[in-house]
Amino acid sequence: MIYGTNSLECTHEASGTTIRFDAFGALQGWLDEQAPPLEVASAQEWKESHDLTGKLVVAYDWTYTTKYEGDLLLNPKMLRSGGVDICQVSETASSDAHCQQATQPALWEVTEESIDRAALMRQEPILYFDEVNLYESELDDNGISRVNVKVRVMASSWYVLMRYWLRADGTLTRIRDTRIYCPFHATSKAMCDSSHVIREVTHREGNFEDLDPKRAVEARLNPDVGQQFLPITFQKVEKLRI
Amino acid sequence: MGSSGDLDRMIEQLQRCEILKEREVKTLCEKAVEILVEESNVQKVEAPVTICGDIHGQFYDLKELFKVGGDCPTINYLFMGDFVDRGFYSVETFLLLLALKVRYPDRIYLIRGNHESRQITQVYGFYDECLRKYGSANVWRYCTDIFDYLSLSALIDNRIFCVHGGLSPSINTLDQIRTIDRKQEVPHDGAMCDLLWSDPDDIDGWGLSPRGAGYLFGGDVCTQFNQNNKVELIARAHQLVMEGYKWMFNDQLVTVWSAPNYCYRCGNVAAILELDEHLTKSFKVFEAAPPEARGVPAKKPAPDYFL
Amino acid sequence: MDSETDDLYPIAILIDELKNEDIQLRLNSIKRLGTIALALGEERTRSELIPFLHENTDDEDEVLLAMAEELGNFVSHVGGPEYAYTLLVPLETLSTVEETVVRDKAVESLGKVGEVLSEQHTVQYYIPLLKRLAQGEWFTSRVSSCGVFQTAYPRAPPNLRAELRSMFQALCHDETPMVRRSAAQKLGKFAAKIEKEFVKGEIMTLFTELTQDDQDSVRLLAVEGCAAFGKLLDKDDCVQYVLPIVQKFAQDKSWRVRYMVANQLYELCESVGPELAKQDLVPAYVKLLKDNEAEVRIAAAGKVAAMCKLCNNEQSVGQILPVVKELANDGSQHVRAALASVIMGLAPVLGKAATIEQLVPIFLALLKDEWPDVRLNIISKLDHVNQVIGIDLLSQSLLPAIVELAEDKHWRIRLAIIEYIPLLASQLGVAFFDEKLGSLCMGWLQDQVYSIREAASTNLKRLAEEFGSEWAQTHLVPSILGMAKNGNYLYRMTVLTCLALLAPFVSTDVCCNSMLPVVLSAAKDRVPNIKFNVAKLTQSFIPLVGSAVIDSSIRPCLLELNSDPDSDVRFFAGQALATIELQKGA
Repeated sequence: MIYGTNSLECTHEASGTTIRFDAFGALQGWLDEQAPPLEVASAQEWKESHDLTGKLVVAYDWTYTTKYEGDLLLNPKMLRSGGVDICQVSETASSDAHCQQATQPALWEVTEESIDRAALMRQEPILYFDEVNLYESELDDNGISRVNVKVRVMASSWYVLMRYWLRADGTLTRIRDTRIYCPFHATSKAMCDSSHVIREVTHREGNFEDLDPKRAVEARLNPDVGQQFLPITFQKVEKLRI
Repeated sequence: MGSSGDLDRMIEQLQRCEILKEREVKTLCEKAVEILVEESNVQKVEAPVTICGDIHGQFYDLKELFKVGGDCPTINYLFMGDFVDRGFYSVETFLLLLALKVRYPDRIYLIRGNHESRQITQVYGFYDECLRKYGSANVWRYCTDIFDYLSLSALIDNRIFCVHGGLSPSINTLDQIRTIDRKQEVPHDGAMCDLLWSDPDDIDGWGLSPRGAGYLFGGDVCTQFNQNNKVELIARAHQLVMEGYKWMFNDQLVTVWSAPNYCYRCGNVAAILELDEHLTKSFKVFEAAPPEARGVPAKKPAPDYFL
Repeated sequence: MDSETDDLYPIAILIDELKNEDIQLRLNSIKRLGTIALALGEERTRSELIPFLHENTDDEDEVLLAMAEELGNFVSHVGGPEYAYTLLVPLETLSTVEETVVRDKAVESLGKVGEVLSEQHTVQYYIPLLKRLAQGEWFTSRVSSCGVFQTAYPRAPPNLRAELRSMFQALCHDETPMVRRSAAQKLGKFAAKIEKEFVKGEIMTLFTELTQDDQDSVRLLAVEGCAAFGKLLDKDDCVQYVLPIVQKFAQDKSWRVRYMVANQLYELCESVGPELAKQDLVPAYVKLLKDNEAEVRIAAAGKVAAMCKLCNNEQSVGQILPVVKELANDGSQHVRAALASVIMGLAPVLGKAATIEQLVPIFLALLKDEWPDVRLNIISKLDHVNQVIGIDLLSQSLLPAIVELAEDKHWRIRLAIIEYIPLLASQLGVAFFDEKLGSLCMGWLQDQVYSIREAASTNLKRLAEEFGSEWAQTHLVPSILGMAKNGNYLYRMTVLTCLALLAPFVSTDVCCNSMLPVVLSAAKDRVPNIKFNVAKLTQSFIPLVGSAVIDSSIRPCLLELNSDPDSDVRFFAGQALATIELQKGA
């Protein structure tokens, strides 16, 4: 199931710089990734017990694993036409006149900074919250594969989590998280330069073999639990100056 | 229990989406076994009959189906499996269909889908639902024991073959299906597994599913099977189709899907296939029950402090 | 477990099952705590059962919920009011657990127990318990405490009351929003138990503060309290304290709060009386009608008629009607639908001239709305229109709307318009009906959707009731009989249903000589479903025809069906035969 009209856009109003998440981008990320076809747990046994001569082998990455990390649109004119279920989040805290003159194109660059998890764990009132699915598949009853995006906006920051989650039953769990964090800094003009967004990408993968069985069931069915027990296979942190 | 009066009361209760007592479920299942054990692996069904695809525990949408198609027993029904899992009301859905089967064995036929299995229901919701609604797994056990008795396919007036998934490379004739010993958990391979799991595809001959287990079959395979067995159409379910039904292979096969807005978010319509006494086909397309008919309002997600 | 086996059920087993690993067994046992207590006697209940329960308050929520509920009805089991305080210990623990439903139930039970305590026990046990809850470290206990004040306060001796009030005050200022929400929710009930002089002073201050809370969920609960407070205060105080708060809420930055105001405004107007309402609340109402959020406009639009009744004609025409005109073109179909269902309620307030001049154009526009629900809501209130201006003015505009709805692609819309057909028929008269709507009604009998065919059949019956048997015999029966040979069993079934429904409304001659033969000949249909429906439907004819007809035609037909190869045909034939016997016996 592809939710082609769903998207999330976070726009810096002054510069028009936009971070966008949608299903087409995510599926393009799947095409670009070209992950090798995964075999379900019973595949080997199944093949051995069946005569496969003369049978066409259909091979593609049916787990829809994607390398998508969201799209960066630098110019408002580049904005694709919107669908119906768009939730737009505007960063207004630093949109004063002074900032509009910044014309340097923004780019993601590697950083030593990190997302302020302590700030995010404070139970600060959520002013805006939404969750949208981009695509999902039941994998013909072999598990689940899903990309969804959550956003929350607080008085001091906004935060986005796009998650690709694969549960291939009896085989493996794969989670790819893209987290975007933007603190609203003090609004003095001098601080405008430091207006920035942090992006953290984390890939995890494994099958909970070492976990006690009761825990493992929960970890397989709930990605929030699962991610705590999966080894990291890739990680990067980047920063976008606006 | 045992008289039609008791059964009529149970049916009324289930139609209000209220579960039966555990011991009532047990008695109902005992009765059902007596009826189902007599059915053939290729159960003969006479037209007129209305063919339905996956329901997946979407109880209120099943009620919608009956509103569009008519009530049982006034109308005859054939359900092609996947009664349980994924929706919120697998218990009520399956028990209602089963109670109707016991009360009117000649008016409603239920064949087995790949979700009517112990292994699958433990992962996709039915098991958890039974635990939640009854506090123990007994009802799940009674129901999954019944699954083993469900027929594997149906043949309407010798002309339309109905099965949940599709064909199997080890099956050329209906007689080969008749010889399967079906009273068991769905196996991981073999003819019985294929009938419940395989999918038609635009390929020639047989294909291997991209997951490495299970078959795909092409139009030529379908033509050959229909000719061998003198049937004109295969009706099957198993795959979501957004328009509710989908013809393939020059109208030799049709997929029927009866769970509207599947999983409460897919936005698809559902269909049933009405066959009158002359086997004239008419698809009835319908949408999910409106929120006021289902008791639970569709809500926006609650804000959460995700990290 | 049936109640008659209660006495036989060994108590020892029940007690044993309180400790069983199977949650279902524990739950069953807890639900029968009363039986266990009776068996143990009051003293052992106090000394053994209650402490045992208290030790087991870390069970599953389902079990705890049942326990919390049972303990509320346990006073007599521990030896009456004198010993009721022994129940407080487990209930206190239950009102601090994490699960909300358990806590709510425990608080409810604490209320029940608190009501029977003596003043001495209130001071010795109940108030200290309330203090512990209200000052608990974990917020769940503070949330629960808010609901205990309403029981404790009136029973507390006057010298302790000031302290209770100040404890509640602290809860209203708690740093956790959940606690403030609970305080806001319970404030009304607490206030009802407090001396009037404090309501106006301290409590009103607290209420005002809660209405300014920065969490909209807290403010929302405070709005709900406005109407209740309005009733507690006399009118002058209400105007002084509550009115400004409502006016402020009507402009709250959270749409949920404004929505709540829109929903409650009429009740508030009633509390302050029409004069003040007109002057101070109607302007706020007009603003809500123009709100940015559709949800708020929907709630406000639904109250248009009620609010206009409250105002005078001048204010209705001058202030409200212009906004109503805008709402008829609102971008949200739900707003238009809400308006459509109440708009005719304005007519009596406006009077005939203003109605024709101002209201009818809006009405006609809504009747052409692109959204079917809007049109349906208009049609559903047609009798109101007729009362005010007469239907002739509208009939020509109505017809296209009805025809379009009759053919809508959504079956529920078709169903809705069918259900209004008898109303329309009674308002429009038989001539108009025959000419314009008769063929529609017959057409529905062949609809694709079963529920529509069913509703269409019932509709014919209701029309026969409205227009009489002569009309039914000439206008309905021949067309229905003409469809009896349809090639599809679904439509033959509909014909049978219609005939059975209409049989009571036609002459015996038509019933016996035109209808019954057609029904009975269907007993030879090739489809078993038709055959057993014949058997079912003969039951409608049996009371209508004489015993000669029963013996000569109905019974032989049923006897034949009773030996049909199909078991359902035999079952329903047997039932019908039994009905005949029963009637004979009587």
